[in-house]
Amino acid sequence: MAAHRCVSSALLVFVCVLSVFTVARSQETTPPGGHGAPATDGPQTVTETTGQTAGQPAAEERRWEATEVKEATPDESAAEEQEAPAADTAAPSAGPRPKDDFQEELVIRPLHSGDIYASFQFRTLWETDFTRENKVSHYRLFPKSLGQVISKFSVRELHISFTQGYWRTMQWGQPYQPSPPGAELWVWFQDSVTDVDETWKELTNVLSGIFCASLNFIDSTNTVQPSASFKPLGIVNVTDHRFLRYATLPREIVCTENLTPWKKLLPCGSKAGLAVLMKSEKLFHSSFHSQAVHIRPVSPTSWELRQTLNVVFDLHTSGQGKREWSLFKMFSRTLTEACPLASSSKIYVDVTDNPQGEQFELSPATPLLSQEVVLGDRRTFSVYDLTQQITFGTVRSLNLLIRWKSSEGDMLRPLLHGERYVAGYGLQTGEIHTLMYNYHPYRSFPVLLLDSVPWYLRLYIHTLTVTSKGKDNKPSYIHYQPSKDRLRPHLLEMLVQLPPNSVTEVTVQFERALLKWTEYTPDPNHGFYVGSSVISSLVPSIVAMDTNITQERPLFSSFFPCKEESSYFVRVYTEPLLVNLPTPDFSMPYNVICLTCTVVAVGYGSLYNLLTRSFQIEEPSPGLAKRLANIIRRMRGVPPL
Amino acid sequence: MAGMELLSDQGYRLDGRKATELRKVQARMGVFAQADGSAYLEQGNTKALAVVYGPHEMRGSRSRALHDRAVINCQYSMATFSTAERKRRPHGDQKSTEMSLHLKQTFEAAVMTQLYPRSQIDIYVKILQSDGGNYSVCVNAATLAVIDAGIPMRDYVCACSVGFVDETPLADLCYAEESGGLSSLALALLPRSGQIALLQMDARLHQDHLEALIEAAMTACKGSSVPRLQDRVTADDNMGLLSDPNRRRALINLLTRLNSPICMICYMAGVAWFMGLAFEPFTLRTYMSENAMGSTMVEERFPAGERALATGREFAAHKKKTGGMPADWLVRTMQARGLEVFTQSFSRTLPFPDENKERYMVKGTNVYGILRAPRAPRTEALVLSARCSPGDDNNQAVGLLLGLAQYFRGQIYLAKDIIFLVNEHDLIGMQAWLEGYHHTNTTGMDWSPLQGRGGSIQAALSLELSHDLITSLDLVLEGLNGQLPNLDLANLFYAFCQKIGVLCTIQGKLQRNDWDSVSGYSHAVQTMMLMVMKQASGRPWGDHGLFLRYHIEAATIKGINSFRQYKTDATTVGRLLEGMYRKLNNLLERLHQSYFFYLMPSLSHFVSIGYYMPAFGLLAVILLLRALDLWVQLVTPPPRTEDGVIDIEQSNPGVLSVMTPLVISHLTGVALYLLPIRFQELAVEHFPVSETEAVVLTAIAVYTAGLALPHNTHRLLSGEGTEQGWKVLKLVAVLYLAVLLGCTALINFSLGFILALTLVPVAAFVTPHVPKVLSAFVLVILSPACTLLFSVFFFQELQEIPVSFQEGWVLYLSVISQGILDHCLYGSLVYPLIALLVYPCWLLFWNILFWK
Repeated sequence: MAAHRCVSSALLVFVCVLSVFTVARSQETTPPGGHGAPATDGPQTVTETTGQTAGQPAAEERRWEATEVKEATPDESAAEEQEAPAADTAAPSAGPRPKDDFQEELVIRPLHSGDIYASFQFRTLWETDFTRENKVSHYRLFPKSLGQVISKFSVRELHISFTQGYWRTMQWGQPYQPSPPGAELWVWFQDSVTDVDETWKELTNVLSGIFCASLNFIDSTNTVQPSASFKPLGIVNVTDHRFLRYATLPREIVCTENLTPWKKLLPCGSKAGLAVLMKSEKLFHSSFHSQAVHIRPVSPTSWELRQTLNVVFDLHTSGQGKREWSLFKMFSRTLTEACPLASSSKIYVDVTDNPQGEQFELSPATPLLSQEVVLGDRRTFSVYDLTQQITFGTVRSLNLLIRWKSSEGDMLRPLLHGERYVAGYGLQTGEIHTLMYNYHPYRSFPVLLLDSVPWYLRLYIHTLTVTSKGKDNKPSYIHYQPSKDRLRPHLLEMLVQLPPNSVTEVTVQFERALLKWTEYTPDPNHGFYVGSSVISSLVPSIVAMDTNITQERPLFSSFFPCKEESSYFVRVYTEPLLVNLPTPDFSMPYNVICLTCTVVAVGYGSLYNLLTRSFQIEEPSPGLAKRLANIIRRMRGVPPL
Repeated sequence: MAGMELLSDQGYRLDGRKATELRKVQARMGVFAQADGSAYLEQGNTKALAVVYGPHEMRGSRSRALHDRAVINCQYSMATFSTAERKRRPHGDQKSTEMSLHLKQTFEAAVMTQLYPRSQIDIYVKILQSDGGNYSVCVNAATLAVIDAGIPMRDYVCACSVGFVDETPLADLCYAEESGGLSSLALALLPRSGQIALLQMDARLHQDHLEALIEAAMTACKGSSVPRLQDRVTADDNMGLLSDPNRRRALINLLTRLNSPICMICYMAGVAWFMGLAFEPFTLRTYMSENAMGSTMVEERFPAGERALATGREFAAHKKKTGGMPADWLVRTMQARGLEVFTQSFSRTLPFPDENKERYMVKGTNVYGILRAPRAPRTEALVLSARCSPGDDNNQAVGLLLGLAQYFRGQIYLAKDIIFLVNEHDLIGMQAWLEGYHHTNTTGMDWSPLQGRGGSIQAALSLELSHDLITSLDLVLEGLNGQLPNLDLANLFYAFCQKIGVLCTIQGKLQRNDWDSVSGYSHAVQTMMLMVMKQASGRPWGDHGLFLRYHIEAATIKGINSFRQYKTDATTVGRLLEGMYRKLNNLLERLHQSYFFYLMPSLSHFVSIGYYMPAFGLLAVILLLRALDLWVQLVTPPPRTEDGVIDIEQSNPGVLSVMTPLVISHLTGVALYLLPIRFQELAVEHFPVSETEAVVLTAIAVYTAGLALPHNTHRLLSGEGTEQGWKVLKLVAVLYLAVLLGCTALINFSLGFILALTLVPVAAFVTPHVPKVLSAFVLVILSPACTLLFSVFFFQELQEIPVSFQEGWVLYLSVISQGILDHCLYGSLVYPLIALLVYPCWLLFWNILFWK
C-alpha cells in the first residue's frame, strides 16, 4: 500500500548502505567452511569486510522495506508488543480508528536439513473493555466463542497449543513458537477470581468443547502452578502465581478435528486469504504440526488473539527425490487473494542463507526485502504483499517456488538445547536424566527448568543432582512441591546457571508406583507419559550490531554494539517420556479364572465344609469271619452274633 | 397311640431320623475365659451351656465339707426363652431342683472326688433352647466342661434319652416325641466300663421291654458321637475338628511304604512327559495373539536388494581398509540416507583373554543412525542391528540395514523412530550400546555417553547375513540367562516367512510334516532339545540376547546358505524385514499378549509353560517325597528294642553336625567362584599354561579338591557321624535342592530341568549305607561338571557335528571359560549359580555318602 511505499522511500537512503553491508556479511558466512563464523565475529571483522566490499555494486536493484512487523517472537517482552498496535493504527490514515484489526502472515523458512518450515500467524485485535461494561455483545472480527470464555471465566491470558511431533532443535533451529508434543494449556486468571481451581476446571471443559480436544482430562493430577517459568505476556504484570494454571497432555493426538474449529476462529475462515492453504490432508502429511491460540491484553482496552500454525514439511518423503518446493506442492493450493478483512497480509521467505541465489532459486522474485532480528539472529526475508494486485502477476495467482541448487550450507547451531530420557531397567526404580546444552562459546546464562512429573513416579528428591562439566552445579533457586497420591503431581522448578559450551545434567531417581487396577489405562503396556520439561531462558544474542538502532541513537552511545537488550527469550521443550509401570497381566482371563477357582475351592470350600460338616454314626461293619459266622447261624436258625 | 404317628411305616421318625439315629451334635469348649471350664453343646435344637468352677474351697458354710472327697454342687436352670412359650422360671422350682439333683448324682459317680478332699466343685448348666432330652444334653455339656476344667474323671459321662414306640426303642428323643406320650427313659453311662451312672424313668413301661430299652440306650450312648466327640476333643485339645488324623496317618504310611516305587514312577513319568512334549499332537500351533500385528494387509515393496548388496561390498572394502569399524564411512553413508547419526566409543579389558575370539583389550566404536518418524514425539523406537565383524562376515547384513534405512526414510507410515545400529565386537559392543542407551553400568565397561535417543525401545531385531543368496532364514530366540522374547515375535517372523515364501528354520532345522513317523518325531525332539540346551547355557546366542534384560523383545535373524536348490535373494529378505517392521510399527503396546515361557519343537508349534512345567514338577515331587520320608523317620521314635543310650543321642541331633558340612561346602563353592580369576596370574607364573587355560584348570582343580575336603574335616570336627545326623543333613540337603531347582526352573526351565534330571536321582538314592565305590562313581558321573561334559557331547550330537573325545574335551574346556567370561562380561548367572549353590548342594550329598 501507499503507506509502505512512503515509509520505504523515506528510508531508502540508509537502506542502500545497509544492503551493501548485509550482503557482504552474508557472503562472508555462506561458504561451507565458514561454519560458526557469525558466532565469533567481532565488530571489527564486520567493519573490515564492509570496507573491502564497499566498492562493489551489490544488489543495488533490490528495494528494502523497513517493516513495522515485530512478530516472530511472541515471547518477547510485553512492552514491545504494546508499541506494535500503536504503530499499526497510526500509519494507515487519520480517519476514525477501526475498532478491530486483523493481520495475517506466512513465514517460510527453508531449513538446512532440506525441510521447509512454514509458520502462519493470524492476529486479531479487539477494542473492548471488560472492566467498564460487563456485558459485551458486539463481536466483529474477534470470535464470539473465545470472547465469551474470556469474560465468563475472567481470563487474563490464555495460551493453548496442540502439537503433533517433536521440534528437532538440532536440525531445524529454534521455532518461532515453541510448543511441547501433545496439548499444552496455561492460563492467567484475573485476580478477581475467588475459586481458581473450580474456574480452571470449568474452563478446561469449555475449551475441550471448543477445540474438540481431550482437554477435559486436565485435572488436579496434571495441573501445576509454576512459580517462575510462565510469566504473563500481556500488558498487566501480575506475578502472583496463585492465578496461574499450567497443564500438559503429552498423549494428546492432534488431527483434523482440532484444526477445523481452529480455522473457524479466523474472520475469513478458510475461505480467503492465507487460510485457504490449510488443507488438512497436506498439513498432517508433515514432519511436525503445531497449532496454537494465544489471547492476551495488549492495552487496557484491547485484546489480542494470535493464532499460529507451524508446519515442517519433509522434502525427502514428499518430493520424490526432486529438491523443489512450491506452494501448490505443499498445500495443493495457490494464493489468489488476501483476506478482505485483513489490514495486512504478507508472505515472508527467509533468504538469509541465499542472498545471491546460490543456494536456491525463488520465483516469482520479489523486489521487497525485510530484515529482522529473530531469536538472536539477523534474518533477511523476501516479502510478498498479498494486498497488492501486482503480487499475483498476470496469472492472478501466486505460487511460490523454491528450487534448490546445492545442498551445502551449515546451520547456526542453536545456543540452547534440551534432552531428556529415562535411565535404568526393571520395573521398580529408574532415573530421569535431563540434559541442557549451552552451545554459547563464552557466555554462561541462567535457565529456568520446570519439571512436572505425575504422582505415580515417586521422585526421590534427595537424589537430585545437577552437574555440569563434571562438577556439582548448585541451583540458585529451587521450588519443589511434592506430589500427593492421586491428587497432584510433582513440581520442580530450578534456576540453573549453564556454563559456556557445556552440558548440564539434572538427574533424579524415582520409584514406579503400583496403581489400583481401575487406574490403568486401557493400554497399560504402552506405558505412561511424563510431560516435557520446560527450559526457559534469556539467551545472550550473538548478533553484534543492530543497524536500525544505530540510526536513531546518538553517535556516542552506539559505538560498542554489546548492550543489555542483546539477549532474547527462548523456551525449549524436551521430549516427553514414556515410562512403563508394573502392569498386571490383564490379558489373561484364563489365569484369573484359575486363580478364582483356586480361591473358591480352597478358601470357600473349607469354610463351607467347616460350617456344614456333620458327625455321622458309622455302623461298624462286622468283620468277614463274623459275617460268615452270621450266615451259618442264620441257616442254623440261631440268632446272629 | 396319640394323634401323631411317631414312627412311619418306612421306619422314619418325625424329623426324618431312623430309630437309632442321634441328632447332630456340635460342641465348643472354653467358651468363657473366667470360668475354670466351660462348654457349649448343641444336640439337634437343644442347646446347653455348662460352666464348671473349682475345685475350690468350700463357699458358705464350711460344715458341709467332706473330709475325704469333694462336694459337687450342681445347678440346673432354663432360660426364659428356651421353650416355645416365654415364661419366667423362678430359681429352685421343683423341676430344676430335681434335675440338679440328678446331675449331682451323675457327676459324683464320674468325677474322682476323692482327689480333692474338703473342696467343692460347682457345675452350672443352663438350657438355652429346649427341644427334648434336656437331661442328657446337660450331662454331655457338663462332661465337656469338666474336661475343659481339667478335673480327673473315671470316665466321661454320656447320657441319652430313649423312648419306646411300637416295640421299637427310639434314641435321643426330641420335644415332639417326648410330649407324644410315649414312655421314655434317661440313662447316663460311663462308656468304658459300661457302668450306669444314672437311670431315670418317669412313665410306665412293661417290664419285658425294660431290658431292650436299656440296651438301646446304652448302645446309643456308646455309639453316639458324643463320646467320640469327647475323645477327639480330649486328644486334639479342641483344635482338630477339621482334619482326620487317621486318614492322614494312613496317607503318610502309604507314602513311606511305597516311597521308592513312587519316586521311580515319578522320575520315569517326568522324563516321559518331557519327551512327549515334542510330539506334535500334544503341542499347540502358534498363532498371533497381538491384534495390532494381526490381519492388516500390507504389501512389501522393498526394491533395492541389489543396491543393498553393493553397499555391503562397499562396506567390506572400507572395513578392510580401516582394519576394523569404518566409522567415518558409516557416518557419512547414514547421513546421506537422511538419518541422525551418532557414534559411541567403548573399551573393555576382559578378565582373561578370550581364546575363541582372540581378544583381550577390546576397543571399538558403535555407529547408529536414528530415523525420526514424522509427527512422533520421540517416545518409542525400534532397533535394527547388524554387527561389524572381522573378515567377510556379516557385510551383507550391514548393506541390507543401510538399504532398509534408505527405503524407510522415504516412507510416511512410520510412527516409531527406527534406530539402525552397527555394533563392533558383537556382544561387547551391543552391551556397551545398551548400557549407554539406558545409562546403566552393570559390568564395569567404559563407554562414552550416547548423544541421541529415541525413547523407550519396543522391539529389536539383529541381522546376520553373510551371503548374497541364502537358502533359509534361521530364527534365534535364546537370550541372556535363558530369557526368551515374547512368542509373538517368533509368530511374526513365521507369518512373514509363510507370506513371502522364504524357507524358515529354528535351531537350523527345517520343519517336517511327518510327525507321525519315528524320524519326524525324533526330528522334533532334536529341535526342542537344541533349544533346551541353548536356553540352559544361559548365554546370549545372538546380538539380540542382551536386549531382553531391558524388557525389549528381540530376536536374531540369521541367513543360512546351504547346498539346496532353493535360493532367496536380498530383496526378499529386505521385504521380509520391511513387513516385520511395519507390523512392529503398528504396535500400540509392547509385545505382551503371547507367551514369554515356551519351548519350540518347530517354528509352527510351541509348548507353553503350562505343558512343560509338569515334567519338572514330577521330578521335583521326588525330592519332596524323600524329604517326607526322612521327616517321618526322624519324628517317629525307633522301636523300643534298643537301650536308652541311643535314645538320648537321637533326641538332640547336633546343629553342628549339619552346619559344618553346609558351611564347608559353601566355602568350597565360594572358592570355585572366586579363585579361577584371582589366581590366573599366579598359575601362569608357576605352570606352563596360558591365562585362559589357567582359569579353566584352576576351576577344575578347585572342583575336584572339593570332593576331598568336606567329609574329612567333618569327621575331624564332630567325630563319627550318627544315624540321626545324616538323616537331618539329607533332609536339609533335599529340601535345599528342591528349593534351588524350583527357583531355577521358574526362571530358566531348561537349566532347572537338566539339573533336576541328574541331581534328583543322586538326592533320592544316596545314603551312607549304599556300596561306597560304586555309589561314589555314580555320584561323580551325575555331578554338575560331568553333566556339562555330557551336555557338550550331546549338543554336538544334536547339531549333527559329532566330535571325538579329544575334541570334546577341548570344547568342554572352552565352554567353561566361555561361561566364566559370559558372567563377567554380560552378567550371565549360570556360572555363579552352579558355583555358589548347585555345586555346594551336590557336595552335601557327597558328604552323606561318606558320612561314616
